[in-house]
Amino acid sequence: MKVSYTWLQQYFETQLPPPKELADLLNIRAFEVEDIEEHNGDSIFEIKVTPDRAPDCLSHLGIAREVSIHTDLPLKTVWEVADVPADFETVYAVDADPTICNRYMLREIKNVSVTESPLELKQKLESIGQRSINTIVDITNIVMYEIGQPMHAFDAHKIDGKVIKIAPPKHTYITTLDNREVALTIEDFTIQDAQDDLAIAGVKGGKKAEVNTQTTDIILESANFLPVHVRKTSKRTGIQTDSSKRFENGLTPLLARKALALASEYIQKYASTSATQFSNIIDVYPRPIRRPYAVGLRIDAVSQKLGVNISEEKILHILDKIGIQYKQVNVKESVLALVHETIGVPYKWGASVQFDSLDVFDCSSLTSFAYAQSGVQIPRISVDQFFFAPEIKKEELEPGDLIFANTGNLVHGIHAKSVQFLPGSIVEQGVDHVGIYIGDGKVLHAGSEIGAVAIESIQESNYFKNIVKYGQLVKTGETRYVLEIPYERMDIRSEIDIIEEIGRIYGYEQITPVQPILDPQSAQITTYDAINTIKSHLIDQGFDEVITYTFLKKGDISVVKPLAQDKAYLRTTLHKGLTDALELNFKNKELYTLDVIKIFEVGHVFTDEGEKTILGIGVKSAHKKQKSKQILEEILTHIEQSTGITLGVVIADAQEVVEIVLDPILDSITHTHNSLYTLSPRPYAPFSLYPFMTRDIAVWANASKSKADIEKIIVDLSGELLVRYDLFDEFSKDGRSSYGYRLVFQSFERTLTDDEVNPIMESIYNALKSDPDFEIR
Amino acid sequence: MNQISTQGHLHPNTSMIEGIVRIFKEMGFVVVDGPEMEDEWHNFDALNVPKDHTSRDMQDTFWLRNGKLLRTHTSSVQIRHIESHKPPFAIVAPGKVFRNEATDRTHEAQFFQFEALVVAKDITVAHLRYYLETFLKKVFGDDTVIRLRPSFFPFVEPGFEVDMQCGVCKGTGCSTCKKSGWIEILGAGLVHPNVLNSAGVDPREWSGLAFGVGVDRLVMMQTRLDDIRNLYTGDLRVIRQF
Repeated sequence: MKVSYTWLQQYFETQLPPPKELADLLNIRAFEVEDIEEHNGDSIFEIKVTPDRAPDCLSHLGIAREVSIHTDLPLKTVWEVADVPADFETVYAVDADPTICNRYMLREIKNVSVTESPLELKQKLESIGQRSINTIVDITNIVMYEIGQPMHAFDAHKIDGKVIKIAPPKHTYITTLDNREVALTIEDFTIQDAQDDLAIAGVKGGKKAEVNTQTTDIILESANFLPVHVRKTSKRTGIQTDSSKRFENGLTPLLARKALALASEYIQKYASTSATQFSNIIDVYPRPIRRPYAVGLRIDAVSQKLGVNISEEKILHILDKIGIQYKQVNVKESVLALVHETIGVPYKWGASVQFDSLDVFDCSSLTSFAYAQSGVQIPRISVDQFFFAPEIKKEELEPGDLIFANTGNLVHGIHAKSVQFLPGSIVEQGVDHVGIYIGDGKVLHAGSEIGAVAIESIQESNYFKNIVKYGQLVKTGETRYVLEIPYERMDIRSEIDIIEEIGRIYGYEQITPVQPILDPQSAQITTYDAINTIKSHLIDQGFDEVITYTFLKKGDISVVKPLAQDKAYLRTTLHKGLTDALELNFKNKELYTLDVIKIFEVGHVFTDEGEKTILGIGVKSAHKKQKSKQILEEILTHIEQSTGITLGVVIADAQEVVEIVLDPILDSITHTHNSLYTLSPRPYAPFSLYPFMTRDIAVWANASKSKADIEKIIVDLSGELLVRYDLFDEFSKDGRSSYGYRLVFQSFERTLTDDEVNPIMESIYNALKSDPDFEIR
Repeated sequence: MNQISTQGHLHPNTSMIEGIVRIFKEMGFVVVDGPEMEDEWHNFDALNVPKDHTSRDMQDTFWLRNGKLLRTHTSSVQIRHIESHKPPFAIVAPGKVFRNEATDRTHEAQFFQFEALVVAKDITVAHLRYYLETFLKKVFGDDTVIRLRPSFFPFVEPGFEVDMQCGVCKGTGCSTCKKSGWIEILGAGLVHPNVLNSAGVDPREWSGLAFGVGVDRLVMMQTRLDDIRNLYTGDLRVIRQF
């Protein structure tokens, strides 16, 4: 995301640190700043906001909040915008499908001025690489880049009817604002009027109700769409926009309200006429968020996780910086106080802890809510709470503890298995009910037959005839900090989330290494070691290791979206990779002065039968006496003898490549042989892609001359085109020695010709001839 | 100019992996492996990467027609190990992984990762830092300086991007490190409680640390090999240099 330094500065009275310094600070405390670009005297940061922080940080205000935390510079408070009051009652109504809309807010505004934007707005957009369109469109965009809430404006006169509906599409195609025809399916959602689709919900506006300079009356949308739907539509249509990106990561519905207020203010400021009139706000918000998310924090858990001691005072100071309100509570006292307030609240099976608490409860939403609000997060449903709560004896029961029961009531079923906590754990007695012990043999709980939260005597209650567990979540007297998480911080939902926050704000550089104490491990030979033993034997025998591609043109298992048609399947054998490698390397064998290319690969293959680990060995020989097949047989025998195992089935064309399924035999390798590995690297040297040329030369040398004398002449006269030389023949006779050299020439720039190599050879011959101690053979 | 050697040459990834494995074996780790063809549970769900969540976009996946996928990271081996072993344990898992993205000099559809996982009592960020420093100093030299930056991977929390001070300019900024003085080297963190819970380990009792590093990238940094694709052509002009 592009962020303007000048724009950021507008949130602060105090001068910000210079751009580079600010970028460094964000880098180590918050997000990677990938680039800083200069733009008309402004510095534009390219900031990589991680997906968890998208809900609060894909905006200038979000980044400003981060800057404020890490610089200790206070944010201006003027960003609490005042509402522009309503001048009239709108005639429009909203019919929003709750499966996609968390919230849909609409405001009608009459007699706006749609013109070219003033310089101030234009500059803001252009600084972050956006095109200015007109006052209204620019304002909706600026609000998004400012606070992170996507908005949309429709031309009211182009809308048929007076109902704005959010539902599966009316038509199979929509023309978007950029004049593209986009196919829609019944799984998508659109904003629509009586006739047509006006926009793809949360993704892209449509052409029909486009706002342009002829527009006078508009309808402003500020909505909160469900991330999953926006994501699916965005993926299917291939349209990713700044809007879809924000919705698919989730946004708090509270932001819609702020955005509408801010946009109204900007319209009044930049796009109004003397006749401009604002309507009331329509707000379809079926499940409003009632209260900030509560997260419990144990002060000692911070140091326990981070491995550095951070004082309570410092921790609380960091919470203040983030804008988190907190209070310290005695957990059980808090739970008991809370649940006593819920007496009489109606029972509803499946009540939501987040949205329904205090309106309706079921047995486990009550316990979950009461503990969460008291700083202890527990799973949502009774069977998971059953496993989560450590067991105590009946005599140890204290007020605030949980009592679990099997009521035998089969209406909603008796749980036998955990769902969320340690999924799949079995509870043989079955559990379907939970209540909170409040002392004096009494239990407070929400039951369907009672129809509400109530207090009953445990002995007399119908629900607790078959008690399956007494559970204690915290000791009596234990305290917690209960944190109220700011609405936009949707990434902070548990203690570990807040510990991470504290850690990064405190500074990870202050954490110094501590060696952990591990129990010694048994020195068993693993499949990894066994494979290395085989590899080592192959290396000892002069085989080179290759790793080839898993993707091939043919096979059993195909890839849904292959990178290319010839990479559409997974390999079923290593044959193709090894054969190709043999071909390639055989052509280059002179480069290595080899007449046999010997390679191997250990890799996975995939057939309809499953995945297998294969050893493939490839040999291609130009040697007259040693055929490829013979070398293969010898290496297989060598592996069997040196490892003491039987290789078993050998899949082979047997001419140049053999393959062995390793999985069944690795366990029987009981010795390690591993002499070759080193971490000290040799620097890589690029190789030429042009063909090489070879020349042989044989020389008689008198006893006064050595190999080194010949090699000096070869190297000195060949220059940089000589890539290697090898002594391939050497013998002595009558006091003289004969040396045979093979010279390999290659250029990085071109294909060499005889015209270039012959003169080099000529000069070598001449140099040798001119010395009476040498004789060319 | 090359020397004639009767010994064959290991693929540089194998050498790098074995080099790292030795470091970790000395510290009490065991090497484990897992399948390259994975199911959604082990590659994503159990790693706190839910279906239809944007965090899945962080990795482009090769989905297979049989409903499975090619693992996008060796982190899937973590889940398999936690599911089938009682803590405490310390494992490393090297192996081939796959990403469905366009290839270039620094990106390849298949490459190797090296995963480390410790699950024990009271594991801290300070412990993580110990392993990272020990490991990177042994690979890149005792004067190696590292830093932890906040980052996000769904399966760890806190999550870090680990940078190494640029070996070329020693932190003053040069073209190798794009003038930042630092080079991003790996991702790390404390194992997310949801991951332990999904794999059947009570996160209130046990804690963990994990990190994953790209083997090919380490090879390229060490040898200055400039094109990752050269590692998978089977070309001995590359292999025989190491």
